[in-house]
Amino acid sequence: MVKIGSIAIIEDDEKVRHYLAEQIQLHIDVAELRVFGDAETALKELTAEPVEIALFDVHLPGMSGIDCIQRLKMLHPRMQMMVLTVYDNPDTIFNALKAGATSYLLKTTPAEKILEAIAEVQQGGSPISSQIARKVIEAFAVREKTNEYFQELSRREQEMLEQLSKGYRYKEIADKSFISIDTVRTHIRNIYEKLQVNNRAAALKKTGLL
Amino acid sequence: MNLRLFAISCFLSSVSIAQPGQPFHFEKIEGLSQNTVYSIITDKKGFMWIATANGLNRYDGAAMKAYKPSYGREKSQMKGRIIRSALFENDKEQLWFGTDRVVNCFNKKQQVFTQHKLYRNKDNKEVKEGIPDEEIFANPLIEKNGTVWFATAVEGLFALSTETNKCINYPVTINDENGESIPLMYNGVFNGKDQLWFATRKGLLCFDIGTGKWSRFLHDQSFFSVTICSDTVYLGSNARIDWFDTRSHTSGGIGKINTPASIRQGMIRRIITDSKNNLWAGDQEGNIYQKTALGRAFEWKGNINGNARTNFPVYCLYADTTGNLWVGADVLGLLKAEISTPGFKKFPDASAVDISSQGLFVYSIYEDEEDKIWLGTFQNGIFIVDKATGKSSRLNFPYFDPILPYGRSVPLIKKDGSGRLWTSYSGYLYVKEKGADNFIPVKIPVPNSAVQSPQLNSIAEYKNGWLAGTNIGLYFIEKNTNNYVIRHISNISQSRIISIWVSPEGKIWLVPESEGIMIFNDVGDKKAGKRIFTGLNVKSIQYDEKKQLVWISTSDGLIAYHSADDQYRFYTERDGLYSSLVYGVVTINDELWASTNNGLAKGKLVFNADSPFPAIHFINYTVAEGLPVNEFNTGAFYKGKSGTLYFGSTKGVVWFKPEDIKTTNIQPNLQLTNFLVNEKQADSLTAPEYISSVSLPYNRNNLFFQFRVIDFNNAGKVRYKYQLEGWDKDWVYSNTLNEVRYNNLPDGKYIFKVAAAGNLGEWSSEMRSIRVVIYPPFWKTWWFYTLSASAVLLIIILITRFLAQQKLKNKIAELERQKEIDKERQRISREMHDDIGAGLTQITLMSESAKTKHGTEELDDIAKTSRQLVSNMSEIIWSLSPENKTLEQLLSYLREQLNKQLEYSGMNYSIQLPESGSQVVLSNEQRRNILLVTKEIINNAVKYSKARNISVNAILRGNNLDFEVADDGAGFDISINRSGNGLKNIRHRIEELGGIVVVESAPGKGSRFFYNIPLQPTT
Repeated sequence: MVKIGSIAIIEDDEKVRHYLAEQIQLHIDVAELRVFGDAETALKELTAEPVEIALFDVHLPGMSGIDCIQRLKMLHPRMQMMVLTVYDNPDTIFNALKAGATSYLLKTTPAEKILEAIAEVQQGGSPISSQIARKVIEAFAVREKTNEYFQELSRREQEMLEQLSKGYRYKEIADKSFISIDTVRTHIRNIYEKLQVNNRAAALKKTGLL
Repeated sequence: MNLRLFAISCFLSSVSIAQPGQPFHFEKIEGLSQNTVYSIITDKKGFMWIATANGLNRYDGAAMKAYKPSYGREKSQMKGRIIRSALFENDKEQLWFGTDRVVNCFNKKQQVFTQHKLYRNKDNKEVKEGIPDEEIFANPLIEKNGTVWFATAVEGLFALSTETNKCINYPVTINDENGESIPLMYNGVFNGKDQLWFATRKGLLCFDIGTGKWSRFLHDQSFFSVTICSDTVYLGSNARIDWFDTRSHTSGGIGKINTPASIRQGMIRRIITDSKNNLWAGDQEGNIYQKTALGRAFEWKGNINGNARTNFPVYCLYADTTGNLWVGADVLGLLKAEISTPGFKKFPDASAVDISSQGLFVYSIYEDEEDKIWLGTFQNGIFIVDKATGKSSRLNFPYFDPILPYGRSVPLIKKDGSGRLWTSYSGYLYVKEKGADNFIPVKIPVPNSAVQSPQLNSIAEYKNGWLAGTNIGLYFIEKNTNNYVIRHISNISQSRIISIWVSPEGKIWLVPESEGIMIFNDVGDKKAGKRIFTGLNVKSIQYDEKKQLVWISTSDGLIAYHSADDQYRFYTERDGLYSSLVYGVVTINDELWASTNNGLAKGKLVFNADSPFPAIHFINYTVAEGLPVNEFNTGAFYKGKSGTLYFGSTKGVVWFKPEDIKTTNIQPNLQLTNFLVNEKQADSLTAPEYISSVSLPYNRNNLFFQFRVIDFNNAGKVRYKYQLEGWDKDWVYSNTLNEVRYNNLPDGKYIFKVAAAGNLGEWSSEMRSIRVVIYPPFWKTWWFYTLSASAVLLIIILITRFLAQQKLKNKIAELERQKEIDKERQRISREMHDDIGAGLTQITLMSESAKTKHGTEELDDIAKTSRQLVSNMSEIIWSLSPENKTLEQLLSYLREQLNKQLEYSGMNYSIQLPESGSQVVLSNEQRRNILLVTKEIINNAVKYSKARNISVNAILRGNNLDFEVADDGAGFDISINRSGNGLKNIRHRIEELGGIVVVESAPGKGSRFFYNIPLQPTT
């Protein structure tokens, strides 16, 4: 059984909230489980007292989940945030990733898969789909000249993204590159972090704070 | 018949003036504006200018153009009538002269006169000269450094600057012994450096231009005229010419001039030096004198008024370079005399008064041992002429019968091979034997006792006697010891027998006048054995022994006849003769001289191997080329001993040595004399001879050109050719016509060229040409064309741009529309799916939740199904997204989806899909259907096949995507129509794309699906 310190669920749909809470409590050894119905409350509460892993629904009544993720990430960089979506809509997910999420999940994912995903996040891995991979490649292709904080992808990361964008599985990629699947996952996480850094830097630059 | 010897009495009646050399004959030139001529010059273009007492004249050898003064106020006209001064041309095409009013300057190019006043120093008053007889007007002498120097009678010299128009006066500062100023006489001369010399009544004056000082020489002598030759000044006074050396200041007299006694001499009014350093002088009485360059004395050369009693003073002289002396006189005007020894000499010339009035028809010529010419004439007996002196006398004959008609005519004087000289006169035959002094007369018997005067027309040695042709038939002459007997043989024809020749074969050739040639085999024959050229009017026969040719002169040309084979060749005007009426020829080596009815023709014979007859290159001589007369006569030609040729004409005899007849090749001086456009002067500011180019508007397009060769020797046979380049395709040979008109010329660039040819027939290399540009009307000009062309071009460009823009707009609109459609599609699908998706999610979660509570299989199914539906929705969204258009993206997505499907299927699987295809664009249907079909097949395999291994392979084959899905599972019976829609659906979807599906399966043998989809060719 997976052991996690604290988990938060931010979901406005009561049914979904209950379902998720139920499942998590059943299968994960979690010390604290907090639930929120909207982003504002979550932001206030979690700013004061962060959790280890937070699950965000994208569509929330007031502030959007992504917004919330972005703010929280800046205050608590180590808090792992996952987005919950109806479809694996690459645009939504990509935006969330840019904002600071490290994983994403379909709401209809079977319970065991949910737990798997959470475990993965805790262990430092991140999921990716071919569409997201393509979007990530595009994001890194445009290098902002004026942004000295722009993080570039390493050669290996680029190659891996290529393969992922073509729909190859982790196993295939790992085998080809003589690395483990975990390493693949770590690479993906690193890529996401670079993505977030670039995104943040761009945002801050716009506000003039950088 | 008694032979009576008698003495030839010669020289009884001299008829011509016995002079040493022949005096000049002066010919008056008509057309002057007035006949008192003060000055004659020729300008740089070759025109002759004559100053008269009423205006200025320009002469080109044929036409005289007069410039008369105007008395009104108009500018640019000549002012002053009497040009009693020299004419002076400077380097700027200006002609300066003084008139009774003022100094004029004529700009020849612009045809404009300007007036210039001369002012005295002392009171700054304008100089006005009077008209008294011996005083002169302002006389331009020379131009030095842009200053023209004028000499006046009493006011001295004036230096007029042509640029500033200011003048400085240099009065004569030397006074005579009485303290009076010395007036200058008519002309002054320039020594070429810086001195002007003047003849005066009180000696010789010299003005130094450099120092401005006067000096005086020969104080006690009175002079009227002056000239300078080398450094010697010659001074004329009353019947006397003196000389003065300007360097050594020595002087001397030439003394009295050699003049015939009867000549009245007067004051030497004018002396000139010509280009060959001969000196010419004219006096008050009209006499002309010449001192040759090397001669010591002046010789009298003639009087301008001929032998007339009244004599007119000579005012000016001019010797040109073509052998003429021009004299300007009072009343007689402009006169011209030939001064060079012409090659052609003639007798009689104009000085022989008695004969010239009658004309001297010469029919026969003979040159005797003393080099005198014997002329047999029509009704004038025989003249014997001394060539050197021109003296002549008539030969006296002892017998004369006045009754006999035409008794005085002498058609023949001929020396035969034996040295006998034959002639006839008044019915008697005369023969002078070789070495004898006297003629032997023999009366010619007249057969029919008609009153006829038999004349000897022709004679030839024949056998032991002579054949004589007369006007009354053929005679035979024999000598018996001391007597000559002549007897009539036959009347060959009615006409006189003008020529007899005995051929080397012994045949007798008789030429009756105008009846061709009769060839008799024997003298007694009544009829000719052969007749040739019967239709022709044969004039004479000459046998050329060397070339074996008989030259037959006829009225229709010259014939070269080869008697051996009867071949002949004609030479007529077409071969270059001026006239085909040839009287006779004289051959000298490879030349022949023919006398014709239009002058003499010299023919150069050119033989070549092809033919016995030569080609003849003729050069014609007429009066234009210096021949004294044009019309020659039958029978009158003779070659003298020393090569002198004689030709008899209607006006006497002409003789010359062929080598003296030089064919001088002087370039004809061609000038444009008139150029009119639309009947007006082409350029009102420039004289035609100066115009080089002219530009005209399109409506001034009628051109008239007139041109002439300036020639003072009356060269009548100048021929012209012209061409208007740009219009005439080639030269137009206009012969003697010297004008041409071009009407209605279209616009364009033209060059009018004209050239002339003299008597040698060769075109001179010097042409005159004028460039004429006729501008097109504006609607034909290049700028109009350009403008309209650019306007049209602009319109085309604008239209094209407009159309292109429209096209672009349409395209953009189209794309916009497509985008809108896509967006709309997406929106619709998203909205739908969001709703549905949300709902399905709820169902899933609820059933999951229920499952954990109640754990029913059906709830599991519900969950699974709704999950699946969500997944499907996701797919639909993917395929609707316009970003996922390419094949590459489809294959990547497919790979991912298949991996998901097969990951936990429990089967071994391999997925091989091409990685390329980023250029291939797929339609919505293609994407959807490929995805669905492949997933369906895999789904079925996962569900039903229980296979251990499954492979999915796809390759790109040209424009086709080929799929193969194979498993080693249970297979199925394809022949059975399954109720499930699966296979039908698959087929439908693939066929909808235009592809083909092939299914291979058998129970227990696994299944193989082949399907291909045609794709768009890559764009």
